[in-house]
Amino acid sequence: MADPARAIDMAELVAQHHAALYGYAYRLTGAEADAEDLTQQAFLIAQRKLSQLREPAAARSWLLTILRHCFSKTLQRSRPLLAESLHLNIENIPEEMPTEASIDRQRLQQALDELPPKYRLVLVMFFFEDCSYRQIAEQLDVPLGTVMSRLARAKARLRARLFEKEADQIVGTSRSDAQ
Amino acid sequence: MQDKPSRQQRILEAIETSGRGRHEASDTARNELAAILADRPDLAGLYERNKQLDEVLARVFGDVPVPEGLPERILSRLEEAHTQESDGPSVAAGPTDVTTPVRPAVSERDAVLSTGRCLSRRWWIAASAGAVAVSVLVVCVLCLRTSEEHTLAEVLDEAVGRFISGELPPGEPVSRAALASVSREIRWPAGTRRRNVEDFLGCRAVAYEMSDWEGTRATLFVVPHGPRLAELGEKPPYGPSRATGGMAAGAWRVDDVLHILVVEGDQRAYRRFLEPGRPLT
Repeated sequence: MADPARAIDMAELVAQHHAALYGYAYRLTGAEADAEDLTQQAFLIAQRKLSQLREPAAARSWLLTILRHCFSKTLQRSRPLLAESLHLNIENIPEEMPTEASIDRQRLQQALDELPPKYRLVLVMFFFEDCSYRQIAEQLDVPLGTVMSRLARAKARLRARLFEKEADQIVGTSRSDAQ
Repeated sequence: MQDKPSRQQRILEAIETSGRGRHEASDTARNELAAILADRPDLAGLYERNKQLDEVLARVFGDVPVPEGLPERILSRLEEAHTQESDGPSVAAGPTDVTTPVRPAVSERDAVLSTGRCLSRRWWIAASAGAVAVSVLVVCVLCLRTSEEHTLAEVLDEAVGRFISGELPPGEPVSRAALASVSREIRWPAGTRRRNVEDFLGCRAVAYEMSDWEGTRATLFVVPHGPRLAELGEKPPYGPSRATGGMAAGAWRVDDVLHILVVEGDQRAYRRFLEPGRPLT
């Protein structure tokens, strides 16, 4: 028997959160088709586990967590990538603050796509999901220091790709003592 | 490699991760960072710029255009999966369930609470749908006494005029179930609100105000027993009956209820508010 209340609730969840989930998925996967698949998969799982959602106000966070789990599952099937090229560098923070409009969306996504998935995930959790690094550590069950390290390096790499003309130079001139 | 970070590395990481107004670095790193920032104005400036940049980047991260029709495709897939679950052995609940549970399994007590919440939700949905039905009925009764003959041009003038007439008090939120009972021809965005219109060409009407994900505004005026216009079809016109002055508007009539959709934008914007796949006139 169909449960109309459940269907209605899911419809509301989709209406309210599909954009956030798709955006999150797109930042993680870098491809529209993959992002849509991931979004649909997350909602399918949410439909089955709807009774676990205790607080409607927590729906966004709950759905993003489901999507992140789905993404992590796909990572386990993918080829591991190397992270040696990621270095700490806070000197590439631009002197003049860029505006939202001046940031090249394509370069942003390219920079994300180039990151090893584990680094990409903490970056998206930090910027998109507004998680602190402590929350990231708890959610991913990873030591705090590891999250700090990944986040710092991922941010440095992102800035290098976005604001420096020659990203390779940045990597080459990164602080050796930070490795 | 990351087990014993150098002091400088800890400071750099603390700067990076304490952005966006957070100060959660471990005590050691935080104390070190505070001391260094006090002594090094150049680093303090860098730290502030980093926080500002994080805010800008966070907004850009959230700026992802959503493909058209995505919610409809999601709902369709959900419905399909739900039907499969209802009709036969559940595929989804079987061993193919690859999702790590995000919350603890539901206990018996939780199941009881959940059922209670579900019943409560149903009650509210039924109540809100009932309230809409009653209000429409009242409007119908009142309009019976005031309806006059008008032309389509006058009806569109009235609707567009009201649409652009300026700021009005915000309407009240409407559930999706109630909206579905108003019209299945409209692609209702989340956050649609309703407001009573006391005098729409002599009738009482209801205005459903909405805006899509691009921020395009639209209003559907529903006028029970509104002016009778022979030229109107029973479905929304595929192209707006009027598209001038940055506004697009179309009207149709279902039984005795007049609908006028006014959209801020051109023909394409107008069509974005119509449910795809439904026959249009």
